Amino acid sequence: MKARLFSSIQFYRQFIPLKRNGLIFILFSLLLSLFLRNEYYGESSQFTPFLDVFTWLVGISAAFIIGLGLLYTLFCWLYLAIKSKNVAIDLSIGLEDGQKGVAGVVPMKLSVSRVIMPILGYLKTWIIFEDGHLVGPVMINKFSGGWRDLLAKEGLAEIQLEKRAQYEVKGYVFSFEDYLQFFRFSFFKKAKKTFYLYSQKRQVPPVDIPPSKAQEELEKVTTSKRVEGDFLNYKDFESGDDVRRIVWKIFAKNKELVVRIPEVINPYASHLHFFASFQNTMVGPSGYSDGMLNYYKDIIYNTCIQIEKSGRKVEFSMDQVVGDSLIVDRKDQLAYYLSCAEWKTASLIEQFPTISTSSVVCVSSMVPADELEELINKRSAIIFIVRVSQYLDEQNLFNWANVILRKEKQTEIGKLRWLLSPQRRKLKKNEKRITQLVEGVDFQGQLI
Amino acid sequence: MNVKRKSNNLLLGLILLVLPTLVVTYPLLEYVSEHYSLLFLDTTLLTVIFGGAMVVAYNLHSTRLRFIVVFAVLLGSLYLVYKSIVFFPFEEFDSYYIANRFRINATLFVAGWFSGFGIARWRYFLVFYSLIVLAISAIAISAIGVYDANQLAWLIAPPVFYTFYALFAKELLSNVKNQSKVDFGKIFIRVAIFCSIVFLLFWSTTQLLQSKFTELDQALQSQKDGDGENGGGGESDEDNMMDRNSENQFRLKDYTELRPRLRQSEELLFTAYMDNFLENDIPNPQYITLYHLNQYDEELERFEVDPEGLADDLFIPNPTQIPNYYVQIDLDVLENDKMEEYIKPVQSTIYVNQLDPEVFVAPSTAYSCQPISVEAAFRDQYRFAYNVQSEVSSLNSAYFVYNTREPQLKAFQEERFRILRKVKDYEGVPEEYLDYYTKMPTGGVYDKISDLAFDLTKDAQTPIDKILALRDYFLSKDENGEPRFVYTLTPGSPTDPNIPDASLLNNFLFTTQKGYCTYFAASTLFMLRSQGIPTRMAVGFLTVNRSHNNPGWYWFYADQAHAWTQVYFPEYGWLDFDLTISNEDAAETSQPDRTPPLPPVEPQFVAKGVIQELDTATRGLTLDADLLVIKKTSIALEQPQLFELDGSSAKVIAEYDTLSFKDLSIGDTAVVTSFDLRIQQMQEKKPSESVEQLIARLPENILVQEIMISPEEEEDPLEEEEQLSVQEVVNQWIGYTILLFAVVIVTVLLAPFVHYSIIKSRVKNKSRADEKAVALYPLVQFLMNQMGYGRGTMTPAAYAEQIVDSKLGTNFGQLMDIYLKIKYSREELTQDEENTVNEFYPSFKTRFRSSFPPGKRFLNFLKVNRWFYYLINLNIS
Repeated sequence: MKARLFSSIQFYRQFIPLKRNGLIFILFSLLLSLFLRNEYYGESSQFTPFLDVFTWLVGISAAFIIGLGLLYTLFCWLYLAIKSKNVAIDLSIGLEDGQKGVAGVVPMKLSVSRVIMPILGYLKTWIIFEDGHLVGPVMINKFSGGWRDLLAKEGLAEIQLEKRAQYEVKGYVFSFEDYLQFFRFSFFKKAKKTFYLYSQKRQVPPVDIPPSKAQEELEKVTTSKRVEGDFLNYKDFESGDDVRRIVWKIFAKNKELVVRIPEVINPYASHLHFFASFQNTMVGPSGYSDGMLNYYKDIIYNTCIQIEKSGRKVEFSMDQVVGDSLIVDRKDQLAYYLSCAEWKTASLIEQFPTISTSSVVCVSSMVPADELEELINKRSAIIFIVRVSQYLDEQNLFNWANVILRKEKQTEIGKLRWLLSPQRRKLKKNEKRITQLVEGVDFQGQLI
Repeated sequence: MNVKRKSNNLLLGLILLVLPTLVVTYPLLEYVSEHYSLLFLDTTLLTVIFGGAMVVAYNLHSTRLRFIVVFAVLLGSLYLVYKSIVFFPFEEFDSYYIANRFRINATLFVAGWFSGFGIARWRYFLVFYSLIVLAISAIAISAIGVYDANQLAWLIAPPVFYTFYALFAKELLSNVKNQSKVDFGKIFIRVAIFCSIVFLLFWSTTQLLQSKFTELDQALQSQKDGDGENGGGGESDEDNMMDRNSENQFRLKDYTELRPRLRQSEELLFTAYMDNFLENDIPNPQYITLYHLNQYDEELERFEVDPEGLADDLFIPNPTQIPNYYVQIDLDVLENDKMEEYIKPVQSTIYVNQLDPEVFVAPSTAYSCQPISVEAAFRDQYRFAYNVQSEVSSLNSAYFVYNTREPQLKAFQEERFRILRKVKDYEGVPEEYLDYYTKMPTGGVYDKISDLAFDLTKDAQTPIDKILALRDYFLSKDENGEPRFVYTLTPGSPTDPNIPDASLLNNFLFTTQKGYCTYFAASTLFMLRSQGIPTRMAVGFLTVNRSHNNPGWYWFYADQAHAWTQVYFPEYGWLDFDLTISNEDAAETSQPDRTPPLPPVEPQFVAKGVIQELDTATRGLTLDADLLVIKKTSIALEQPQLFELDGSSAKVIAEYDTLSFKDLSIGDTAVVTSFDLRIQQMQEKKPSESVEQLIARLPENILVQEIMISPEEEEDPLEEEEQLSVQEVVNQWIGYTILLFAVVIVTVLLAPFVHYSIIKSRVKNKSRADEKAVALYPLVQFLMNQMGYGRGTMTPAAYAEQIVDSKLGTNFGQLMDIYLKIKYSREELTQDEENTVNEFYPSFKTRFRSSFPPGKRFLNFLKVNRWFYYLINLNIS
């Protein structure tokens, strides 16, 4: 609610024509001239005729300079307001196809056409999402060439978007600002667009999955592993691959960097069912739970990627329904699924039917220890337990550097408040119990 | 990448924000250091300290360092160093001096540090900073003494530019900071464009305000006059004294402040010859009066010139405004000086050296002024000279306090006291007059002064005896046999403001008894006025008779500026009584007397007018004169009259330079002087004779010896030129720049047309088909390119078929084939091919014209970028 209000204030603020810069300038000039008037101006003062000269000069030249900026900005704004139907907008996000990106600092490219740029001024674009959330600005700083030199083309900005989630753009606010940034004229333009953000790469402890836990361990792979003239045993080189495995012969032939896939240890292993539970009964919706969700998603994503790298194919499923996507790439698909996930309050026990067919189950430490104990006792799957409190714990509460250094990111949240919150105590208690549980029984899985 | 971006931002900030800030702060620091008399610190050092702190702070605070922590460390260490200075083994005074110096530098360093921090971290800091700089600059510029609105405009221009520049640049940089790529070129272009826009707008403002400026100039001019009076410094000291006419007050404070400075200066101001001798040819010098201070302002505790008071006997012409040899007379002053007996006419000649010639100096009571020319041999010494007629009381003399050994002078003094004793009281003097000159405040120190005066003069019956009693008091010795009063230029504490205000007078009379002329004069004035004796203070020059080699000649040096009292005696008028004691340092000054200038021969004929005709061959000229002096008779003509003059032996002078006859031009205002013998032999003007008759008696072709081009007409354009110089130069340069831009733009715009006409003429001039084909190819390509169908990287043949022919439906493809054949084979063209070539251009022309209407063609030709593209592509292909 508070966030929503903040967003809408931020949104409507864009439509106030006088910017803070201008306001401060005007107020302070008034204050100074008042001071000069009282101190130095008057019939008997020797400064009076000089101040008269300066007042005329500064006043009129300031009016000219500010006025020029104002008029041209207003003109640009009017042009857009009149021709808004002709304006075409395209937003592309971070990665190749413009539909996805990696969460965190997301590079965004916004292209517009048929919008006049304010002379020496700025055209800033704010992106508004369906939930009212507002990000930006993306500054349009490239002109289209040719005859229409004054028309805007595109702008590139890096926008902080932390949520690994689906984003639905509702529209854009175009803000025309003059060169002194005294004025701003904004125009809201509707335009739909969706994109999703990947999880970030993160170091995860090495995952050890016994071969027997593959789903199809009873079925032997029947197809021949080696087919002549095929790259069946090779895969494209990716960052993180061992360079010693690059097949230089193939590179010499067709300039493609491929690596030899390590020999499969278990010829029976193929697909691996990975189930992720997003149950959260501990921390209510807040900045903390959002951060933990992001952290949890990162862990799942990176774990799955690691498993894939070790030669297993991961078939991912989770405790919430996701609309089908046409994404072919496995990584993208995984990221897409994750981006749709939210914390759920539904009990883990309800999920047992699904879990039973899975070989790997991933849960967060926000699942009550009792429910987890039940799951462990079933011993049907390998269980990954992610201690989400680490998300905040891994940032030192008292970072001594922060005494003399400012916070680097705006995203760092108040750790002291978290330290004092009852939710943390509850979560910590739960995590402690889970740790005892894991140590106590013959536990198949990992505590991350 | 991130590091690179950060360093880019840092660099941009240093260049675009910190550097301009420093540049605009420099004059401000200069002003501040001058204002606070930080004499031992020069501005460069201050700027280095300020700038260094700013740069370091800017760099540090562009990182994540916290301000509070760094600032606290900085302040702490500075404080420690400051405190520990005492422990260094300096001399006591040295450590105080060093500590003070350190404190100023440290304050500046902290200010610079704070500014650097503000620029780096606080988005709105520069709004505040630039506006404060603008305000301080406005005040500082007001104080430097420029009184021309246009020049003021360009003086205030840098801080105004800076204000808007700072607003622009800081926003530009804060926006750049968020961009992933920094294009330095683009940023600098933006800054350059913005600066040009601001400059242009500011310039337009000054142009727009020209009419307003003239109005404001007047206000400034009156301010200048006011300033001249209140200020005082440098060469204009003497001007200031004279400026009393335009404003009503002259503060004694300013004058007395002048004194120590004048004392140091030993420049010769002027030389005077006074034709005033006692019997036996003993010179009787007179003080030179500049003006009178009649009034005392009780509230402000200062003496003032009172123009609205009673009619004054002061004659104040501007000698430079009077044509040579022409006499300006004011007979009213003779009426006002109330002198009825012992009147003696005295003629003086003043030769001006360093004094401003506009200041009129003469023994009182002067009533006529006649500028004369200075003999050529003395022109390098004396700038100006004039004769003065004065009515002097034969009772008046500079010898009053000086001990003189001359028996005649002693006798003279005694004689005049005897005469003045005839004045017993002021009965019969108009009450208004008496009241005006005996007015003085009461209470406090004034009562104390009155009491002292009563005490001192209790035995004296007449005014002169009362004056003598006061003189004796000032000259008396105390119980130790030491002089009671001491003459000193530094009478009080070092903070002596040089104003003998009530408390200082109190100190002077009753405590320290040390002072200089104004102290004595002010005390005398109050004491005499308290006794009902009309007294006024006179300001001018002390006359010192130092040598007897040139009797009657007196030399006036700057240190002779003086103040004294004048006392009114009925029937005898105002007499000088200088009670300042043994002002011996002035009397015995080592300044030598010099050789007096030779008085010039009295001219017979002087005329001032405009030159109407000039004959450089015979050196004759015709003058349309309106002011004449014929044999000492000054004549102002109602209608200017033409005089034919012979300048064959004349010297031509312009102010202080000697010119040649060729330098004269028609329309010059000239003063001609003649010593023509024929006029000398003429009879003086008879009382019955009319002016016309006198002129008619003049000989023809008067031989003139001197032609002086009047300075006013000569000076004015020069002055204007100088005044306009700053703005003129700027305007001229703007004009040149705009002109140059216009020429370049027009040239560039016309270039495609010129190019087109050249290649078209080539086609027309060729009659052979093969040559024509070669010429046609570039023509077509040029035309199509200019219309927006460039060849790009296509082969000529493909371009011809796919672009040109498909667009226009011509057979340019065929032409291309022929062209290629001509170029690469040795075969002759067939008849068909020749026909094709010959027929191509007319058909192409019609199709081209129908495809592109004239307006579109013209507009496309203006697109210079396409022409450039064509030129570049030619080189590629």
